Order: sequence, then structure tokens, then C-alpha cells
Amino acid sequence: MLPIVLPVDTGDLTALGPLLAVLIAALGVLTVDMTFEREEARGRWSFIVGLVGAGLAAGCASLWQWEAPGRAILGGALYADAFSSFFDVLLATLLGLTLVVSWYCLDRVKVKPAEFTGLAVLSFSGMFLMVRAADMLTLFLAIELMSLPVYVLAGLSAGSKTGREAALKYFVLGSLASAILLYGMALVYGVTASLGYTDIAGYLATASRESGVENPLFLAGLALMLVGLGFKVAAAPFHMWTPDVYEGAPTPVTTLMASGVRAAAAAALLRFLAGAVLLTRGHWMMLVWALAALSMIAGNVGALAQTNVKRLLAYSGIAHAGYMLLGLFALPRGAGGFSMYVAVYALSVLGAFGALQWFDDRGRETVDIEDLAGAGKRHPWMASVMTVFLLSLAGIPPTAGFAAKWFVFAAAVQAGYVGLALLGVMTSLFGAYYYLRVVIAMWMDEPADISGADQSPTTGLVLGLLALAVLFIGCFPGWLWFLADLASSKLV
Amino acid sequence: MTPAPIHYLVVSALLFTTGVVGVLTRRNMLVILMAIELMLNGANLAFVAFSRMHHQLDGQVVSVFVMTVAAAEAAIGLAIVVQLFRQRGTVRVDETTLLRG
Amino acid sequence: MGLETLIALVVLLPLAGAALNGFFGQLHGKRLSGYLACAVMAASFACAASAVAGLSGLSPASRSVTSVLYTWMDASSLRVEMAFTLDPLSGVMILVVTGVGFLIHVYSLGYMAHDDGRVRYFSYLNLFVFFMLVLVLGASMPVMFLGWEGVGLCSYLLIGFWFEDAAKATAGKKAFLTNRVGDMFFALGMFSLFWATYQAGSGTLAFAGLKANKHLIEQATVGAVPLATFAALCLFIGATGKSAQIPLYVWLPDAMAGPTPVSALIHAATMVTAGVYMVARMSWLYQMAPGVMELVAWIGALTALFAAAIGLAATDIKKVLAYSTISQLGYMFLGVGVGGYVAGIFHLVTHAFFKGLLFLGAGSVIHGCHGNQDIRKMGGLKDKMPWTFWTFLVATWAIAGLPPFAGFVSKDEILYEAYNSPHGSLALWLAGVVAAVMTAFYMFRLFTLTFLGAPRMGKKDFDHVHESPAVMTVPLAVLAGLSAVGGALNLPGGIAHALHLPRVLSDWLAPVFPVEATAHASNEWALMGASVLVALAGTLGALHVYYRQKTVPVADNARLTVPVRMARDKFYVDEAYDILIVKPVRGLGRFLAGPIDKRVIDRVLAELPPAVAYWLSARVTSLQNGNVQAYAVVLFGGTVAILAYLTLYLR
Repeated sequence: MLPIVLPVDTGDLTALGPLLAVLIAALGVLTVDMTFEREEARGRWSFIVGLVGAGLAAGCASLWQWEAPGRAILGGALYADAFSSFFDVLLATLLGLTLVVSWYCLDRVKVKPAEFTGLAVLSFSGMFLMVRAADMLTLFLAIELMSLPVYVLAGLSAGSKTGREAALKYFVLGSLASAILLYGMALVYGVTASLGYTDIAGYLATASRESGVENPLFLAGLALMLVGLGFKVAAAPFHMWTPDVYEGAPTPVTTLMASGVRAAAAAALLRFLAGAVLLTRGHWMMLVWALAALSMIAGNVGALAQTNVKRLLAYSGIAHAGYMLLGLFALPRGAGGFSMYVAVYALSVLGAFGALQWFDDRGRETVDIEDLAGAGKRHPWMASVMTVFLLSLAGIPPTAGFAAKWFVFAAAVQAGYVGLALLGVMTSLFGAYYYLRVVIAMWMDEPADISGADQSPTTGLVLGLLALAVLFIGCFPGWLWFLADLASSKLV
Repeated sequence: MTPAPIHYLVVSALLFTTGVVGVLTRRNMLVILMAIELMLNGANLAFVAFSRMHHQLDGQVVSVFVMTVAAAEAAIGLAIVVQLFRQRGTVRVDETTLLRG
Repeated sequence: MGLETLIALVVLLPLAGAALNGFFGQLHGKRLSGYLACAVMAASFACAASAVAGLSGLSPASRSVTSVLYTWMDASSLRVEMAFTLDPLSGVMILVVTGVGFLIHVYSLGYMAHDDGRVRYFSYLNLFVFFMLVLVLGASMPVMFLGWEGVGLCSYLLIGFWFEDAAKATAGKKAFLTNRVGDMFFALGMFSLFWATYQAGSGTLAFAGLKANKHLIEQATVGAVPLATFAALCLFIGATGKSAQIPLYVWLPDAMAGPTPVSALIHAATMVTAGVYMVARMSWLYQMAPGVMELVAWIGALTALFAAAIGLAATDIKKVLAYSTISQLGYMFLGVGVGGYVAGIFHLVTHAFFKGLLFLGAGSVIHGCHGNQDIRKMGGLKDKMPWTFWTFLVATWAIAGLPPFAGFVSKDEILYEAYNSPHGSLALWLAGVVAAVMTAFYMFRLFTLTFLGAPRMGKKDFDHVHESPAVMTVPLAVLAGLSAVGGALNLPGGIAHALHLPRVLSDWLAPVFPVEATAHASNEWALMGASVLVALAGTLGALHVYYRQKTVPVADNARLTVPVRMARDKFYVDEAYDILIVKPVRGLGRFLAGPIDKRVIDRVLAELPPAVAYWLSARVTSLQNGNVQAYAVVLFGGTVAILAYLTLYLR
């Protein structure tokens, strides 16, 4: 009898806790789907399972010893450290919030709650995997696990023309990006003979000592990987899918995409760049510089002429990808800024889309700025909540968005990238215009026909609390910065 | 002559490029799906070739995983195409341009 | 109670008021919300007064107390604390903001008595005061920026309080754009100052820190331009946006769409003075950039002239006051631009008194005339609204610059500095003088047409005109008192010297402005005399034209050129003064208000940049043609670009 030795011990299990919680929740939802006959029961129970999973994941993640060093799990396929815990908590929060705020909107957009929940939790399990992936195979699997459900989710709205088109576009472009990513991984593997991040970093360290010049094949591979990852974060010039897909997908799905997918992709990008590539190399910085600048400009300029709020938020997300990238400069301090910015952005954008879901235009989805007109008069509470999120996205004090931008721009300046920081400041001040346009429309235009009367107070309460949190972070950002810094500075 | 890894790499690059060209130029959605498969398999071939070159199994393991994922992706992609066809009656990608601006 | 606590209370009390009214307003009802807001303001004023009193107890050299609430953001080398500094300058500002603010709150109790939204109104009003106090008390530029943005936001909320589509839409667009542009430059200036200090290792944005490091800023350059000049210029452009100077003034006249007390608070006494305050606060920076100072003075002077000219032809009571505000702000910038910081601040204070009073009085008139704002339809209100009449007279007297009221003293001070200061010039002084004539003229024009003469509204309407309740007239009276005796705050040098009286404001502000005030020149009396003369000239001219001749401004669509009127009107012959000055200037005013202001400036400033921005946006978004393969091409193109870059780089 051969003793079976599992390469896992109890410490590993704790570290894997959040991931396991979400995976089990996903399976749980599938089971619920098969068990119950009636639609509402299915919906309700899958929702509960999803929330429980999120809660457990958050709980497990917070049990992690934040000061402790990271540990490699499963032979180096995963790496659990403070960084993954930070993002675990964030992702769990995003999952919970997404489910709660989307609940009432799902009927309106003709998406079955059980299906939505199941796919959403599956996608989130992919995200949890992404933030702790420590080798390229795991990264690829995680990206696919995250993305495939979202492709389906985008087209889930029954009878929606734009939904199916959005699903197709996301799928085609997403698969293209994934394939490019994969080929890049192949090249990197070919040169370094290893899949793990630490091994790649080791190769780079020795290679520079020996030859002084990196292998062109390796560089090509890394470039392709950057393309694939940049696609998911919606950085320019890989951003073309964002406006169409955000607009076409049903708003609950867009909420998931804008907050969860973005956060996980950003975390994976940072982990990869910091862990494997050693971002301090000169030409890499130029690349990131170009991506950041292009994103900021393209996003802000594109958003100006938008009349559709979802499209506007999509373009703004592209700009935010640019600001996020700024945090990549001035490592290791900048990594904290990056993580903090991702967290703040994900929460703000989730709130914005969530509030958008709350407003109901005569039984349909609210999508245009005109649909929101006069919301301040009819629903002052929710309009204030929406205003807080928009101000946070715009980076106006005293919201969290301002603090996050501050830290990120400060990091860039401290690293000497003054021009880029300046570009960031200018574009964000300039860009505040389109956010404010929505705010003004809400408070000063003649009311459109918005009901919002079907919403239960729960959604409003949750969004209200989120808005308060955003304001709180804006006034007292120190603790979040501390956590983000603690989580990220050890990456490099 | 025994094929050396470099030959495999060239072939994989060709496959990949053919796939890319297919995605960019062909208007039939099903052909685009096939092109994506081509790309993924091009990458697979590269993995296997490198794996052989380094006398490791890692690349081949990756390759197996990728095949599985590719299958899942293809299934989803086909489902999306079918859905779209049911609604629009076309599989041409330049006729799905409702979302723009 | 410690000074630090008092300072914190001054700021936080209005915030508490805003929060209480905002969150619980529905619970305690409309009446109570108003009283609460006023009580909060009174308490804040009391704290401000005690704090200033406490400050005066300290020796002049150490009159700077900072109250740190907590560390707001700490990004290693850049620490920003939520801190408020009370020094002589901010002390003056908080007294004005809370004091005049309190009076306006009380007035609002009456003005908004029938408005359903008054809970929201009082909440916004308190919130506005909070942000304004943050702005003036901020110990560092980011905190000031917080206040800067905050007052902008609150002003949008308050201006748009009564949603009236067309007016508000354009007002909104203009306010946006000008504030955005201004804020961008403010941030740019802030940035450059930080950069200058950071380079040398002591990066800071606290006012005290920046001032301590001014030698670093003096030496730094941005390209070929000295950094001090660059920063001063950028900050000033930001100031022109907030303080409605050329070229970013276009939003202010349209902002009159809101309730009149809002105009009084925001556009007379507080927000618009933020720019002047900022220049004064950074006076040491401006001393390093004399070129920019000259620009400031010239823009101030030109704005004063330009706006006054437009005011000559305006027919809406609030629009006249709006242009008047722009013009008086121009005087303030003229003052600080030539180095007369005390003079500029002094005028800021007196302006808060009389302009606040003018707006509140206008509100009383509008209230009494049931919403009519067209002065062509007023007249004869003197007996119907005695309190309003007398207080308005005091204010008009003051703003016209007639002695001995406050406006005369402060305006004269500015003109004195304009003439005598090393940064000043005869040309600047002349510009100021001409603007003074026009100011006296159009203000008395307004006064006469509104209150004197025979009533021009229908009899039924006239019978319904009534005086405003005490809750509105008492603040008017208080402000009138202040406008009358406010001049005592800073008597002209010669008079103070002769009477052995202190120049209160100059002495008080001395620690903040180390610049030597222009020494008493011998031409002080002459200049004073000139000021009096021009004020009299304008006043008498207006009275003559509008009272004696009973001229009424014609309807807008009647385009009468100067020669035609001359020919038609027989009285011209014996009043050469009319022909030479009054009529052409009024025609100029009409011209400036019409073609120039509306067509050129509005088009260029308010409509062109958005048009360009939208065009750019359309170009960018046209790439999104909906074709997924096009997107794929871009994606792949990006990939190729990256690969090419790396390969080429390696060569």
C-alpha cells in the first residue's frame, strides 16, 4: 500500500480558504439549480449560497496573518501572502455587493437570478485564483475561469440584441487576447524553461549578469503577455471592447465586469510584473508609461461626448486604468498606491453601476443621462449616493477617489515621472467635467419618468453604506493606504 | 532530416499568424472561431516544442490544460454564435454593429 | 477653551449644521431647520470672534495658531494634514464669512419663508460656509483646494436651487467650464510649487512650509521661465475663474438665477473673494514675480472698467449688481496687484458689507414687487419700502465711493496704492478713476430707477408692493451700519495721522504682509480729493439723467445710436457733460454688453472650448465603429507596436 502524500498541509488550507469557499459556493449554486424546481426558490437559494460563500471567503482572508511572509502552495502554483489576502477581502466584498445590488434589477433585464448567481460566483472563483496565481499556467487557467462565465453572462439577457452582440464582441476579442497571452507564455517558457514567476525572475537576474541583453524572444513573449493582461484591465490600446461591452451587457453584468474583473486583472498584472519581470528595467517603464498616457487620454476624451451613462463609465474606466498604471512607477511604494487605487476604483464603480440599477426607467433599465434627469428631486437620497460615487470617480475631495489619486500621483512624482503625473492631474481635472454633467443633470434638470419605487430599502441601504464608506475613506485614507502598502510592498 | 525545435517553432508561429489573420479578416463568425482555435493550437505547439527542447514535461502539461480550455471556449463561442444567429439571422460579423461610438 | 479648539469649532459647526439639516431635516421640520442653521452660524461667529480676540492677545510676531485635526494623507514625502491656521489674514476672513454669513442666514428665514425646499436650502448654505471656512483657514494648499472645490460644488447646488431649464443650462455649462479651467491651473500651480520644494528634499505644500522654503522656489525654473512666475501665473488664472475676472468671468452674471440671498453670500461676500484671498495669502510668491503682479493689476483694472461699462446698460437689478461685483473684484485685484495687499483685503471686507447689503436689498425689492426684477418697471418705491430704501441708499453711497462711508475709504486706498506704489502707475490709477466714475453712475442709476420718481409698474402691482418683514430688514440695517462706519477700520494715512488714530487693519495685517506699505506721500490729499470728485461726478450725472430728466432705459430691441439720441433730445445742448461722457459711455456699455460680451466672449470662452472638446471626443469615438474586427485590428496593431518598439530598442 502506497502512502498517498498530498503536497498540502493545514497551513496551506487556511491560505486556500477563500478560494475554496468561493469554489464550493459555486458548486453549491449549481447544485441548488438542479435541486429546486420553482424559479424563485432557485433564485433565492442560489443567492444565499453566493452570499455565504462571499462571507466565508472574506472571513478566511481576514484570518490571514498580514505580517507573515507568503507561502507557496501546491508546488509553487499559487502564492498566498498579504497581497492575495487584501484582494481576497476586496473581491469578496465586491461579490457580495454585486449580488445584493443586482438582485432587483435582474428581473428587469430578464436574467434568471439563479443563472446569474451561478455564473457570477464561478467567475469570482476565477478571480480569487488570479490574485494568487504564481505561475503562468495557473494564471492562464484563472483568466479563462474568470472570463468564460462573463462571456456567457453578457449575453444572458433574454431577447436583448445588444446583449448578444456584446457577448460576441467580448468573446472574440477576449479569446484573441487570451491566445496572444498564451503564445507569449509559450515564448517565455521557451526561453526560461520554467513556468513559475520566481523562476522567471531568477532567469532575468542571471541573464542580465551574463549577457547584459535580454533574449529578444523572451521580450517578445513578455510583450505579448502584457497585451493579454492589458486587455483585461482595459488599458489603451487594448480597450476598444470596453465601451461596447459595458453598454450592451445587462447592468448587473457590467457591474461585475467593471469592479470584479478589473480588480482581479489588475492584481494579477501587478503580481506578474512585480514578481516576474522586475519592473525597474528601463524599457519596460517606457512601455507602461505609453500605456498609461494613452489610456488616460483616450478614456477621458472619449467620455466627453457620451450620453449613455454606461458607455461614459466604460470610457472613464479606461482612463482609470491609466491612473492605476501610474502607481506602477516608484516601486515598491507605488505598488501600495496601485492596490489602493484598484480597491477604491472597484468600490466606486460598483456603487455607480449599482445606483444606476436602482433607478428604473418605467420598468426598463436606466442607461442614458436623460433617464437620470431630475433624480435629485424625486429620489434625493439615491441621487446623493450616486453623486458621491461619481465624485469619487472624478477624484474630487473629500471622496476616496481623490485620496487614491493623490497617492498614485505622489508615487509617480517621487519616482521622477513628473510629466506623467502632471498629465494625470490635468486629464482627471478635465475629465471631472463629464462626471459632473451627470451630477448636474440629476440635480438640476426637469425630472424624467423614473420610478425606483420597486426597490426594496435594502439595496438603497447597502448603497448608502457604501457611499458613506467612500466618503470615510476620502477623509481618513490612512488605514487603507497602510493595508495596501503592507500588502503590496513585499511583492518586489 | 530530423525536425529540430526551431522548425516546430516556425510552424507554430505560422499557425498563430494564420489564426490572427483569420480573426482580423474573415467575416464569418464560425471561421473566426476556427481561427481562434488555430491560434491556441499554435501556442500549444510552441509549448510542446519548447518542452521537448528543455527535456521537461511542463510544457506538455500546459498543452493538455490548454486543449481543455480551448474546448470550453469553443463551446461557449458556438453558443453565442448560435444565439446571435437565432436573433439576427446572420453569422457575418460586420452586421453586428449596433453598439458603436 | 483653547485657541485650537475654537478654530476647529469655527469650521466644524457649519458642517454639523449642514449634516443635521441634511439628514434629519425632515424630522425637525422646516421652521426649525432655519433656526438651526442660523444658530449654528451665530455660534460659529462667536467662536471666530473669540478666536480672533485670543489671537490678538498674542504678540504680533507669533500670531499664527494652527489647529491640526488629523493627518489626512501621508504618502511618505508628501504629508497633508487636515489643519487650519488662524493668523491675522484668515482671522479677518472668518469674521467676514461667519458674520455676514450669519446675517444672510437670518435674512433667508424671511426670504425663503414660503419655499418648500428650505430645509435643503439651509443645509446647502451651511455646507457652503463650511467649505469656505476650510478654504480660508486651510493650512496647506491641498486643504485650500478642498475648500476651493467644495465651494464650487455648493454654488452649483445653490444656483440651480430653483430649476429653471434654459437659464440654468447655460449658466451650468459656463460655470463648469470656467471653474474647470481655473481649477486645472490652480492644480498646476500647486504642483509646480511642490515640485520645486521636493527637488531639494523638503517637499511640502503647507503654507508655512512653502514660505519657509521660498528661497528654493526663487531659484527653481520651469524650462526657461522662473518657477515663481509660472506658479504665480497659474494660481492667478485659477483665481480669475473663482473670482470672475477677465477672461473667466462669464459665469457670474448667469449665476444670478439662484435665490438672492445665495447671490449675496456667494457672489458678494465669500466665494468670489477666494481668488483675492489666495493671492494675498501667497503674497510672498507674487513679490518674487513682479511681471505677474503687473498682470494681476492690469487684469483687475481692465475688468473693473469693462464690467462697469456693461453695468451702465443693464436692466435687471441683479445683473447690474453682478457686473458691479465683477468690477469691484477687479478693484481688489488691482489693489493686491500693485502690492497694496492691505488695501485689497480692506476693500474685500467693505465690499462684503455693502455688496451683501445691495443684494439683500435687491432681494427685498424683488420680494416686495412679487418677482419683478426689471428696473425699467420699478420706480417710486421709496415710500412703500422705507427700510429697504434707506439701507440701499447707504450701500449705494458707499459703493459709489462717496465719503465718509466705507466704500470711499477702501476704494480710495486702492487708488492711492495704484498711483504711489512702486508696482503701480498713472495708467492704472486712471483706469481705476474712470471705473469709479462709472461705478458711481450706474449705481445711482440703479438706485434712482428703482426707488425714486414715479412708479412705472401698473397701479394694481404697485398697490401690492410692501416692505419686507423685520427678519429681512434688520440684517439690512446692520449691514448698512457696517457700510457706513466700516471705513474706520483703516482710515487713510493722513487722517489717521492727524487724529492720532490707529490704522486698525493695516496694523493687524502687518505680520502677514512684510512688504512695506507705501509711505505716506504728499499727494495723498490730492488723490483723495480726486476720488471724491469723480464719485460726485458720477453720482450727480446719474441723478441728473435719471432723476431730473426722468430718462428710462429703452427696450432692448430699440437700437438707438448716439447721434440719433443727441438729435432727438433737446436738453443736450446745455449739458456738455452729457454729450461728452454720459451718453457715449452708456452706448459703450450697451455695445460691450451686446456684441462684445455676448458674441465674442461668450462664444469664444463659453462655447468654443466645449465645441473643440466635443469635436475631439467625436473623432476618438468614431474609431468605435461597432465592427469587432476593427477593434481586433487596433488590438493587434498595439501588439505589433509594442513588439516593434522592443526590437528597435534592442538595436
